[in-house]
Amino acid sequence: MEKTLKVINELQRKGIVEKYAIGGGIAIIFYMEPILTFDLDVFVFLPKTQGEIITVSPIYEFLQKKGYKIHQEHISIEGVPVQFIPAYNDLVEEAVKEARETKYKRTKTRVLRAEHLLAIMLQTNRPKDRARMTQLLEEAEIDMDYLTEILGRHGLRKKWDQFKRRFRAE
Amino acid sequence: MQNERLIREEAEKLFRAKQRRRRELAGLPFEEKIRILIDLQKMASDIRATVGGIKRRPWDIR
Repeated sequence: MEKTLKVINELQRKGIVEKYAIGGGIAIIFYMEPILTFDLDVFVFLPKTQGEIITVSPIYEFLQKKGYKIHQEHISIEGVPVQFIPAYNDLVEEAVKEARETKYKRTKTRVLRAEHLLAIMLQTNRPKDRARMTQLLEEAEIDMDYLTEILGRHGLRKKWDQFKRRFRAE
Repeated sequence: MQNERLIREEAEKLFRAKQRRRRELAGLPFEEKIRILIDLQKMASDIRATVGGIKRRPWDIR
C-alpha cells in the first residue's frame, strides 16, 4: 500500500489533485479493528480550470499513461483498487480540508478524521454505514464536542438524535 | 434455573472478552491492520469462491 500512496502523493505534487484524504473502509480501519473492504476510497479536490468542467479524467489519464489499469469504477494502483471521489458536498470538502496528516510506513498521507467519517456515514445512512457507526463509536476515541460542531454545521443534529435513539438506546 | 444463570454468565464473560479483543485490535498500528485486512480479503475470496459469489481479489501489495 505504501507504493500506492506514493503514486497518489505524486498526483498531488504534479497538481492533478489539489488535496486528498483517504476515506471509506480504510479510513475506518485507521480508528478501529480491521473490517473487510476491498477498495481504497480517496476523496479529492480537483484543481479549478476556468471555463472547464471539473472532472476526474486527468487523474485516470495520468495513471493510465503510467500503465495502471481501470477496472469498472476503480483503477488498480500497485495492486490496490483505488476509487477517486471528488469532494461532492460541503461536509466532504470540510472533511478533506481537516483530515489528519499521518504516515504509512515512511510515506506521508492524509486520513479523514473519525468525527467526519461518522458525519459522512450519518449523511449517507446505508445499513452498512449504520453498522460501522455503531462499531466506530464503541472502539474509537471520538471528540464529541468536535462531532457536535460538525453535525450542527451540516444540519445533521436531528438525524444524529434519531440514530442514537434507534441504535444506541442502551 | 441455576444452569441457565451459569450459561448466561459464561456468555457475558465471552462477550466481554470479545469486546476487549476488538479494542486491542483497534489499537494496533495501521500497517498491522492492513496486514490483517489482506488476510480477511483472502478468507472472503476463498469463501465466495466456494459459494459461487462475485469474487474480489485480495490486494497484491508485496
